[in-house]
Amino acid sequence: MKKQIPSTKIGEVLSVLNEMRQAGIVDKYAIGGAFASILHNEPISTIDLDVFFFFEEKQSSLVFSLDSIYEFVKVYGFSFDHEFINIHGWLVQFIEASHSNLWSEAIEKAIVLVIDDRNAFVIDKEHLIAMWLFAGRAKDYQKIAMFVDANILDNEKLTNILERHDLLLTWESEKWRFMNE
Amino acid sequence: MSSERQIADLTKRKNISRSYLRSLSPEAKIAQLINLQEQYYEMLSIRETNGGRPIPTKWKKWHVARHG
Repeated sequence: MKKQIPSTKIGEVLSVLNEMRQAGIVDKYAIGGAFASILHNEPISTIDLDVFFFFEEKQSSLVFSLDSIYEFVKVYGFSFDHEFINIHGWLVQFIEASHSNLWSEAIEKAIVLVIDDRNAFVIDKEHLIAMWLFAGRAKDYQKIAMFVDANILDNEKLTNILERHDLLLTWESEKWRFMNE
Repeated sequence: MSSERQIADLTKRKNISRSYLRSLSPEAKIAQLINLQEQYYEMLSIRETNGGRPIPTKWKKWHVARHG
């Protein structure tokens, strides 16, 4: 028998993301950041849910505007405060990804997880590692260390990604931070 | 028990616990995340109440979003 888990309302959030896609507000999207880390590995504390995405329509301006997203969520009655949109009690942050080859590829290669009977597009483990390595903050290295420690990475795939995005040298010089050698 | 054996025992128990957490369903992991968030906010709140650093703005926003 399936164990009863209290509702987290994450299914409703996924429904909103999928409706946003159907309405042509966003094209592809994928969950990244610490939330994706939790789905692949173990629970850690984070306040927000990062959604990396492309716009359906190419934007002509150099500075991306999230106005169409804000207009869409306003119709649903969701509030927002600077970078966060409160969707069913979750602080969701939308991050446009087309300017980065690594982020774009991470969205294109996202895996599908079924959560609360909805499809969720989630950035895979190896692309997450590359994104955290590129960001290079202490909290990013902590997450890399957790994945290395858990021995859940496909090393060949990771090396391939790091190589193609010019991150192999960074990995070599920084790996002392997250590997027990 | 020698300290080396104690460390080995603790490491083994930590690995079992983490392996269990990794094996949870996405829904169960997200439920665990909510527990962690509630506990962390409570800790920040106690710290502030006792004259420590104030609750960070991001966590205040989280509290408003979750609890209104």
